[in-house]
Amino acid sequence: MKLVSFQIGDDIRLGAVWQERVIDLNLSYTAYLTTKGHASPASVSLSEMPPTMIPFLELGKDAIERAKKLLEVVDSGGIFGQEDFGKFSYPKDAVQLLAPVPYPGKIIVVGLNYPAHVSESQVDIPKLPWTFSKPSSVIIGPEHPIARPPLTKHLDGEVELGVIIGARGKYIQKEDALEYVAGYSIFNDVSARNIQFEGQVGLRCFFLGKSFQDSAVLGPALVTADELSEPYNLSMARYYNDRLIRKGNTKHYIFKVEELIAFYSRFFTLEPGDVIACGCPPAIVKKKHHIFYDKDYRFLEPGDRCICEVEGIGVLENPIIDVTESKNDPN
Amino acid sequence: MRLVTYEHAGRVRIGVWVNNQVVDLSAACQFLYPANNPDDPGLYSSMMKFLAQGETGLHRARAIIEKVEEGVVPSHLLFDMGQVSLMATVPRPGKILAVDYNYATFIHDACQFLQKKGLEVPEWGFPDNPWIFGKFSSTVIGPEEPILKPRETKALDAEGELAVVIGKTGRFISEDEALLYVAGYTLFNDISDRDIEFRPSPSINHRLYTLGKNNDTFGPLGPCLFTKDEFSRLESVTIEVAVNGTILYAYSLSEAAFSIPTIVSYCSQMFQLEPGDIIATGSGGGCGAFKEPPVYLKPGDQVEVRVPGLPPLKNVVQDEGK
Repeated sequence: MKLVSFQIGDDIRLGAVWQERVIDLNLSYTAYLTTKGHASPASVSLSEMPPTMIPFLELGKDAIERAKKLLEVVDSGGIFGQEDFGKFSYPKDAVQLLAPVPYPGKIIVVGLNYPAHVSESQVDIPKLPWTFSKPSSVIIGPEHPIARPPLTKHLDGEVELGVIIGARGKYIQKEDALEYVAGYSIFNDVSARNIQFEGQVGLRCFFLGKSFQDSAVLGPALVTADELSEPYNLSMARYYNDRLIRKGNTKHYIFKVEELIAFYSRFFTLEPGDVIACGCPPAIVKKKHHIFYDKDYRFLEPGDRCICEVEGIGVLENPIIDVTESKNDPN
Repeated sequence: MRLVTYEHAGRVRIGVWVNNQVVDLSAACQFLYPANNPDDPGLYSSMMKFLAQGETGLHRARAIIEKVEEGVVPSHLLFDMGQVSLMATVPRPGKILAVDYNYATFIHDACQFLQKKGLEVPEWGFPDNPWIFGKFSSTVIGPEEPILKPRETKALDAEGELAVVIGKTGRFISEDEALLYVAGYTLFNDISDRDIEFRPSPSINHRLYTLGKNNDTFGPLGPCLFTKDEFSRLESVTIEVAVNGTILYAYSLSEAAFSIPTIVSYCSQMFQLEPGDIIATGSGGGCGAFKEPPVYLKPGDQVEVRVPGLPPLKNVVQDEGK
C-alpha cells in the first residue's frame, strides 16, 4: 500500500494511492462504517483511521491492516456509489502531495554509508554510522521547489532510502528492528557543498550545509513495509533533468536498516513518523578530485529538476529555484 | 516580563509569572475583556501560537500584570507556584539551532580535551561564521523533569547557555533588524555526552557530535521566557552553571565571538525562522569535562543554569534505568 499526505484547502490529510486516485482514508472509512449501519461512524473513524499520518502510524500495524482491507472493499466496488466516490477520493493530479510525514519528530541522516561514496569522499569506512540531523521544519514533499540559498552555488542532491518508523522504541534489538518500520520512502538529502566542506579542520559545518530550508525531501509515498520486506536490492538513481548523476543499490549499504535502528535507539527513543535516511550512492562521473573541487561536477542550478528514483517506491521530483531575498516586514 | 508554559489539572497552558504566582493567560484575558472578546482561545493554547500574535499578545500579557498588581484579578485565576508544574518554555520547538565554539575559553578547553584524549588537535581559531549544529525537539524537557543519564554514558556534561526565542517569522533578516524577530530569552542546558561528541568517525571532520548531543532529555529549556526588557544590557549578563549548589563555571556574554544579532541574521540566511524556534548561543569554557580531573554529572546531581537575579533552570540527573 502507498500512503501519502496531501493538502486540500488548508487541511493536511492522510491518503492511500488507489489506481490513479488518492483516497482520503478517514472519510472513506467513515463512509464504509455508514454503509455497515454503524451508529457513530465519524467518531469511530476518527479513532480507528485518524485523518493524519503520525496519529495513524501510532496505531501500529492494526491501522495499516485496516486501511488495506478498506482498499480491498474499494477494489471490489462494494461500498461506494460513483456519486459519493468524489467526496473522499481525488484524481492524483488534483491534490498537492506533501512529504508523507509532513512534520516528523526527528530526521536522522546517515552519511558515508555506501562504500563507493566513502571513497569518493576520500575518507576511511566509518566504524560507527556517521550521523547528522535535519530540523523537522525543513522538510518538503514532491514538486515543492528546492530554494537554493544565496550562500551556496554548490547545491547537490542525494538519493537515499528513507525509513519511516512505525512504533515507539528504545534499545531495540537488531533482530526485532524491522518490526519498528512502518514503511519506506525516497529521501533526497539536499546539500550545500561549499558550506559543508568549508571551514577549519574539525570545524566543518556539516549541519548547516545539510540542514537548511528545503534540504529534506521525502516522498512521493510511504510504501508499507509488507511490500518491501527486504529493502536490500533496490536500485537508486539521481538525475538532474534527464542526466544521470548518481546511482547505486541499497544492497551496498554498510550499515543496514536494522543495524541503524538498533544503533540509533541507544541514543533516542524512536517514535512513529521519525525518518532515517540511509545514505547516498556515489556520483557516476569519474572524478580526479574530491567532488567539491572537481570543476566538471555539475551542481544543481535554478531551472533544473532534481529527480530521485528508488526501485519499488517511485520517483521524487523537485524543481530548483533561486530563493528571492524578499524583504521582511519586522513590524 | 516572564512567560511560562505550565501544566495544571492535566492541561498544558501558558501564563504570566508575577510575584511568585502564575496567572493563566487565557482565563485572565477572558476576565479582562469579557464582552465581545475577539481572541481565539486557541491563541493561548501554546507558547508558539501566543508568540505568533506578536505585540498584541505581549501587550495583553503586560496589561494582565498591571491588573494583578492592582489586585483586581480574582484569586481563582492565580496559581501559587506549588500548584502548577512548569514545563519547557517551548515544549516542542520547530527547530533548535545551537551555536558552538562561540567563546575563546570553550575553544581552548575543547582543544586541551582532545589532546588529553589522544585525538588530533586542530589549530582552531574562531570559525568565520557562527558554527551551528542541531538538537532534536525531542530532547527538550522542562525545569521539573529529570535529565536521564543513558546506560552507556560515562561522560555526561552540562553547557549552560542563553537561548534566543524567536517571536516572528523571518528569512534574510539583517543584523540591524534581528532583535525585532526575538521574543525574548530563555535558559538552555546543552547536555552532552563527551565520549561520543568528539569521537571521529571516520575523520576529524566527521565527529559524532549529533549523537553526543541528542539523547532524550538532553535539552532542558526554561524556566520561562524572559522578554527583552528583563535585560537592560545583554552584554553584562553572566551565565553560571552550578552543580549541587556550587558554581562549576561562569562566563559573561560579553566574551562571545558572535553577537546575538549576528547569530540570528546568519541562521536566517539558511532557515526560515518561526515563532517558538530556539537558538542556543553557545557556552563559555570551564565545563565539567574540561576540569582536571573531569567532573561529570552523576545520578542525584542537581544542575542549574542561572543568571544572577533571575530564576534558574534546575534539573536533577537520574539514571535512565533498564
